[in-house]
Amino acid sequence: MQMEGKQDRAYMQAIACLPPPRAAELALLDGQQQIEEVRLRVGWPPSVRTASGEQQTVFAPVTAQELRETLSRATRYSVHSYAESLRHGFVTLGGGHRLGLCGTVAEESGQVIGVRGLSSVNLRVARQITEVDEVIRPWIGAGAMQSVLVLSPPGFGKTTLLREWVRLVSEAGHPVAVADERGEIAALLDGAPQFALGRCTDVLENCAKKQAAFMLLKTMSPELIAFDEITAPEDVEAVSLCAHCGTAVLASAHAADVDDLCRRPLYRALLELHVFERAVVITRENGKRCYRIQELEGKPCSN
Amino acid sequence: MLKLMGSVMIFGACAALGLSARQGLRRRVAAADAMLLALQLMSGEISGRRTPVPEIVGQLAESENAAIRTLFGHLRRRLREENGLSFGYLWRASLRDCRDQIGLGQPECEILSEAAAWLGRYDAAEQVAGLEQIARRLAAARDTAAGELQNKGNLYRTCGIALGILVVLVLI
Repeated sequence: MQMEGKQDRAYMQAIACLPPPRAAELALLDGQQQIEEVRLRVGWPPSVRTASGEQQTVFAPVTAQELRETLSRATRYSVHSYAESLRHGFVTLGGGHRLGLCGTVAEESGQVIGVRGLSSVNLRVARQITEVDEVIRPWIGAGAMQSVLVLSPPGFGKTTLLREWVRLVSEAGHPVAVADERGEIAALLDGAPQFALGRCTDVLENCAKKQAAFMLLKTMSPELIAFDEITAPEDVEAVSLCAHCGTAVLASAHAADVDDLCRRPLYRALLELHVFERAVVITRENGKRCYRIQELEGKPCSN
Repeated sequence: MLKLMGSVMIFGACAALGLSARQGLRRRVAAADAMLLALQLMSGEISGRRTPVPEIVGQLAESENAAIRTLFGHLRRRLREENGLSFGYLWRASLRDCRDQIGLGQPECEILSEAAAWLGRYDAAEQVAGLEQIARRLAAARDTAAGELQNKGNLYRTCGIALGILVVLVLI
């Protein structure tokens, strides 16, 4: 990577959780707008990941002490405030950026209670991408509100697309509720979303999806309810709560395409609810994101 | 006339010495009380709302109590400096820097400094238990200081005044 490039606001905000000397080094990198992830592994120089792959920087190798300090700063010296997300191996930072953690897991009664002895961290930079707008705009708000499932492998921009979808529907005057369990869609700060989500959007942050669905349906009467990352049976239950009650559902899931989705029992159960009419599949070709739509109505999932 | 003025000044100085020694003890008790109040609020915020430490520090920095406001205002400033120092270090440094200003005794300061090792590093239950333990020890130190105030406070004041009178009498 080259040095002394133009500074990108989202990137600079994300690296602020690193110890100041390391953040100052990484602030010198060029092409910051293309950087999607910063990876710090003990004993190796930091590397950055762009759409074209991972590249190592020329800086000094990362130390274990540096990772410990990074975690302290990311949790704002308040592990108790982030206990639940630490159990899932990540911390959501101000601005919706995500710090993923790897190391030795601490367990209690078979349950993960945290990660100690950090070996690597992955800092994922969250950005509002409005160019996506032109690609998906024809699909959004055309006719009656439809339930849509966004599919892609990790790191392909599901949350970014979901956020933009919410914004467009909301800007069209439809009330939208966001169940933002990880705080990555809206990134609330003092009650205000740090990402543009439209004028008719209500956000419930840090709440389990099932409970959030129940609360939002009861209190906010949304026309569309958005969930990020359906990954557990409880999340499927959250979707089932919203099913066929007049509220459309927008959700995302990890899968390469619909066939891939059908291969996993959890998602088969999700499809059997017949909530989603369409799926948007995000792929990457020559380092560029491509979007394609697939009908889900009547899609048979063979075992 | 000159003699009278000198006598008054000597008496005043001796009395002030005794009174300030008593006032020091009184401030020490008040500072310990203030810190107990702050620990109680910290404990409540951590257990009830899982409030992040910098936000608790911010709330305490706006406190009505001058001692709490001074200590946590200083800590908030240091946190905002973003100088890469650990929270534990900043906590200890703030206590050390503000100790004289708020009148906190050395034993109470040491008790509070121990929280630097774990504050913000564990789950809510562990931290609340730690804060409760610190509060118990601080309350004991406060009672010792209050006992000292009761026993020695009046003695310092009386001695100061008596010394002043004695010196004046000797000089006259």
